[in-house]
Order: sequence, then C-alpha cells, then structure tokens
Amino acid sequence: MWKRFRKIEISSRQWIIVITIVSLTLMAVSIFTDAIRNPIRQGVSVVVVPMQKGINTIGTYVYSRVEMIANLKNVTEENKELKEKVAQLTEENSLLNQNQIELQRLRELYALDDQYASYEKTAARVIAKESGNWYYVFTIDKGSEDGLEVNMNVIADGGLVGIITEVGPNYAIVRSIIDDNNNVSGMLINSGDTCTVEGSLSLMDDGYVYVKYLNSSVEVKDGDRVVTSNISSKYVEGILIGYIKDVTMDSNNLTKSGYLVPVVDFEHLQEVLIILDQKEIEE
Amino acid sequence: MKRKICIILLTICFYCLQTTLCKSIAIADISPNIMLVIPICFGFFKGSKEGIFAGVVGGILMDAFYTSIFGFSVLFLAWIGYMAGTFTKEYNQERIIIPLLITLVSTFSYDFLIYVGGFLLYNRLNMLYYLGRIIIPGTMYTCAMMILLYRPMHYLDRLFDPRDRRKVTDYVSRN
Repeated sequence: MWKRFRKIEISSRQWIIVITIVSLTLMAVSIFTDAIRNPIRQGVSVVVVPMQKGINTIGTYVYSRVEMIANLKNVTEENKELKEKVAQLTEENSLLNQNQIELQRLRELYALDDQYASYEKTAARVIAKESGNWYYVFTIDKGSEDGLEVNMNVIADGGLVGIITEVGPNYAIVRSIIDDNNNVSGMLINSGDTCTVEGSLSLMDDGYVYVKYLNSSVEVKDGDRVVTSNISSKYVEGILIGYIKDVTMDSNNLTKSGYLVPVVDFEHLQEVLIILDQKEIEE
Repeated sequence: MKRKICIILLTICFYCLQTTLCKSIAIADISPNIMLVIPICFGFFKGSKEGIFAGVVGGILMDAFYTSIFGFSVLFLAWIGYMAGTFTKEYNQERIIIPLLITLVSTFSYDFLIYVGGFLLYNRLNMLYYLGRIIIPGTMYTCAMMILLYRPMHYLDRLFDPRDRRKVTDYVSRN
C-alpha cells in the first residue's frame, strides 16, 4: 500500500502549476470576501503576535539605551536651553491660564462640551509594521479582547494617526493617514470649511500629506489648523490632523489645494491611543 | 519532514524580524525584504520543490496581514522558489552570484508589480520617482542582506542535511 503510494511522485513543475492555479483562485476570491483569509490570519496571529511583541520589547529597550548614551552629549546644552524655555513658558502659562478661565466661561455660556477630552480612550503599543516599503500600515498589541473594533480612530501626540481596518483577538491593524490609500474628511478649525486630507507615498519623505478640495472662496494661510470634520462618516469630530502649508488655487479655479503638516511624528510612533467611541453612521 | 518543519520555523522567525527589526534598520525609510531570502536559498540549495514549499509558507505569512489581495505573495514567492530551484545544478557553496542575481531580479519585479497594481493604476504616474525612491534602493538593500545571510543559510541547510548531495544520481531525482 505504502509502496504504491510512494510511486506517485509529483514533479516540481506540476507543483508550481497547482500552486499557481490555487493562488490565482484565492486572489480572485479575496477581491470579494475575506472568508478564506480570516482563519489563516487568526492562526498566524496566535504564533506571530507574541513573538513580535517580545522582539519589540527587547528592541525598544536596546534602542532607548543606545539613544541615551548618544544623547548624553547634547543633554547639558539642552538643559541650559530648556531652563530658559521654562522661564518663558511659565510666563506664557500664566497668560494661558487667564485665557483658559475666559474660555471656560465662554464654553459655559455656549453650553459647549469639551468633546475631545470626553472621548473614552485606551492605549496600545505599536508592535509591527507592514512588510514592504509601500504602505504605512502597522499592527498594535490590542484587539477585540480589549474592546477594539474596526473603524475606531487612533490618535497620538494629540493628533490623528489613522483608523483601525482589521481586528483580531490580540491585535489590530491600523492604516495611518499618511498611507497612500487613505482619505480623511477634514475641516478648517477657524471657518468650518471642509476639505479632504489625502495621504501620499511621495510626500512622506517631506512629512506632508495633501489637502484638497477646499472651496475657492476660503481664506487660508500657513499654519491654519485642520481637524476631522463633522460630516466624516468614520472619524469622530474635532481631532486635530495638522497644519496647513502652501495652499494654492487649482487650475480649475473652483477649488484650492495644498499640503498639510501632520501633528503626529510617524517616524517615531511607539504608543498610540485608540478612541473607543465610534461615530454613529446611519446606513 | 524535519526540513519542512525547520523551514516553517525559520520563515516565522524571518517574518517576525521583517516586521520589527527590519523596520528599525531601515535606511532612508527603506527596509530590506528578507522574506525572499528563504525561498531563494532553499530553492537553490535543494531544488525546486523545497523552494516552492518555502515560498508558499512565506507567502501565506506575508499575505495574512498586509497584502490587499490574498494569494499574490504566495504566487510570487512560490515562483521565485521554483526559479531558484532550476539553478540548483549550478549549486556550489562559493557561488553566491547566482542567488544574488535571483534576489536582484525577484525583488525588483516584486516591488514593480506592487507599484503597478497599487499605485500606477491609481494614477500615480511618476514612475521614475518610485523607481528611484523605493524600488531600486529596496532591491539593493535586499541584495546586501542576501550577501549577509547566505552563509548562515548555507550552514543551516547543511545542519539539517549532512549527507553529501553532490552525487550525479541526485541531479536526476531532484528535478
């Protein structure tokens, strides 16, 4: 029996043909549904995610040590600068305090709630990034067991990082706003005019993203703040995205476009906050 | 069987390193793609069948999380393993130039296909920019990693297969 079984020798050429057909079928199926990928993903994540976490913990430790030694030289100089800055900031702070009181008063007056602070958040650590160089997608170490869901917004440094696209039991995948596939509906904080914030691979080096489709009548200047808009279907309102830079009139004379400097430092992203409140969408 | 398990474990390790360590050693935001190393090396050392196997394992891992179309990496890596296997007759411990050339061609075409499918079709027509900024540096870096990893991979290959495989009869059965 065994001998007869052994006689069937599949050559490498036959193997490659079989695999080509199978994977082409899988590709075709995966355009329509994730049903095949999900079980595989779950199996892989059980093995891989703990390992990634471990490597990452060691890596972060070593990195911080190396960084510490390298920084020691600059520290003294920096300390001096910082002391001056502290003095300056203390002064500014007292001024801001006064403004804050005024703001508080005005808020009460308008019965405005400080929404940004009222969102419920949870922290997570970035443990892995996309395997190629093309997309800015990363994995965080919390998942559905921690109450995360698809379409939850991710923030860091007080600015928008991205959105959760997939969730597993112990991990979630986040697509950042600088990814080439990403669009966010934003609005200017001073005027409420809406625009679209578009990630771009070619602008990533300069640290910008595109801002497009501003109405031609809108007055903007460099440094204007853009937040997530009230009409966005997936992003909760009022999260700071970045600052406007170099907006010019488009050739169609109907819209304006330019660049946006994101608040978040995507280069050194280690910890992120996930907003657990989701925008309710009517379907 | 032992070799298969070894390849699976090695691929998982490489995948974890690829998504963590390789991102830390990135130069100008370009990280090497060490996932290609295993199918190329094992295909070259042992023949097409093992190359295909290593390619399928690596492809499933890569596709599980980050590729938008499931099956693309499986297909591509399996073919790389197969192609590398066709050169197994030329196998010689010192002859690193062949796996290096395969790495060069395959990394380039892998990135190029991603560019065409994920960027060119979305109206990102500035091909020279993407070639110069991502594809060519990535290819170079991956080739450098191949040079670094070739010896350790060869050592691992020998560790799990101490027999002398340089017999003429072996050529026949291997292909």
